Amino acid sequence: MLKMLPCIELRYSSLWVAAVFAVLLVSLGEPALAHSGEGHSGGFISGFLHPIFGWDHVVAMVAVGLWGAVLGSPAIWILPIVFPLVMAFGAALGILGVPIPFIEVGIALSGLVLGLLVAFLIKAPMAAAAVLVGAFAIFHGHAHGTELPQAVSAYTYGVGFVIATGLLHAAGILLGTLMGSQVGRYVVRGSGALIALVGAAFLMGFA
Amino acid sequence: MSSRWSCALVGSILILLLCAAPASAHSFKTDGGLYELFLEGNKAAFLDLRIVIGVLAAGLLIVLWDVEGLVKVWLFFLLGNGAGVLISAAGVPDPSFVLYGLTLVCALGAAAAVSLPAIWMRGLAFIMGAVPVVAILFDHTLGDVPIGFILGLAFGLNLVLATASGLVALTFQHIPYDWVRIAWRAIGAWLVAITIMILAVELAIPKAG
Repeated sequence: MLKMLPCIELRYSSLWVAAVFAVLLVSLGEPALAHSGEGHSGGFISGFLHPIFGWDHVVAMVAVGLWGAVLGSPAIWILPIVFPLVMAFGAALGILGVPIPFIEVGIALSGLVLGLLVAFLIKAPMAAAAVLVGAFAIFHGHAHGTELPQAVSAYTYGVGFVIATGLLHAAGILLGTLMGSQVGRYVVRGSGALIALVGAAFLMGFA
Repeated sequence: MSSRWSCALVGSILILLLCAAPASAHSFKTDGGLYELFLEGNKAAFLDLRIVIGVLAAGLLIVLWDVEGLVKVWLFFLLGNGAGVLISAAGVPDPSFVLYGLTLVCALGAAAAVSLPAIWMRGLAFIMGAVPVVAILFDHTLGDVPIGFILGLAFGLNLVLATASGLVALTFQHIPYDWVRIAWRAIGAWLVAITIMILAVELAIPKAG
């Protein structure tokens, strides 16, 4: 599976575990509130933090990377390309005020479904995987687009928001590289189960 | 691809440029010494996000097309800069939407790693050299834009192009793994996503951002 990533082999697993935990720790950090967040830098920070501080978004975006790793090449890179592209389309619909029903349900469902797909290591044809991930991306993008703050630069908000999404996918892919070992496989499946639980909590209104 | 198609592409984009919707002019300082004006031109290139993203996408596409692609098309980008100055002097309207369209073409091409014929790449480099210049200089007559500003603008645009292309080429030469190319293609997809969002904001809230 990891022929695409020849530098990521079991001999580096401890390094990758450390990297994955570092990314997770960073994502757990509290937001700094000292600055008002206006202008270009405020737009970037606001856009960057928007996906990161919504756990319904975080779990789904990490799950996209994880499922890509589970599916192997070429899904490992196609899914993280499809997601931001379709998400931007959804964001455009949100910015333009085009309504889409059941946005919150779609977002919660994305965490639940993608988490279960990872937990049970379910393989799907590339086209089906891309369509499923793309469909969920529309809900996430629409939510981000609708909530675009007026006080900040919309351009830099978009840059921050897309980069944060990409980094969350990368965190999922990094975690997915642990699939090379038996213990790592349990970690990946456990992460999938956790993601599904978070998705279910949002779906049932517990979070 | 035949040169006839290339001419048709260039012609279509020039027509689009002429048909673009008018918008308010960019303001920049037109007085001061040569050095101040040069810096003002740099600032216009570096601080306009839609232009930076467009030129970054072009740089990315060029190196994904050919690792030494910049050397092969740079002259056409420079010629495009010159043509942009002349086109803007003709009093064309704001070409922002043409720029977004071109950025999408470059970024999508990079994400899909399309292998275009050299003549297309030269044409694209020429147009990507011209349109950002027109986007900044439109609504200004040739006489009212000092040479220092134009030189600074061209230098800034070329610096962004060279930095983007150089960075990508450097990673290809020093990190010889397949995933490096894939990572750059993913960044191409990010540029598409960012451009779609900017386009939506422009359509929804004119002159926001």
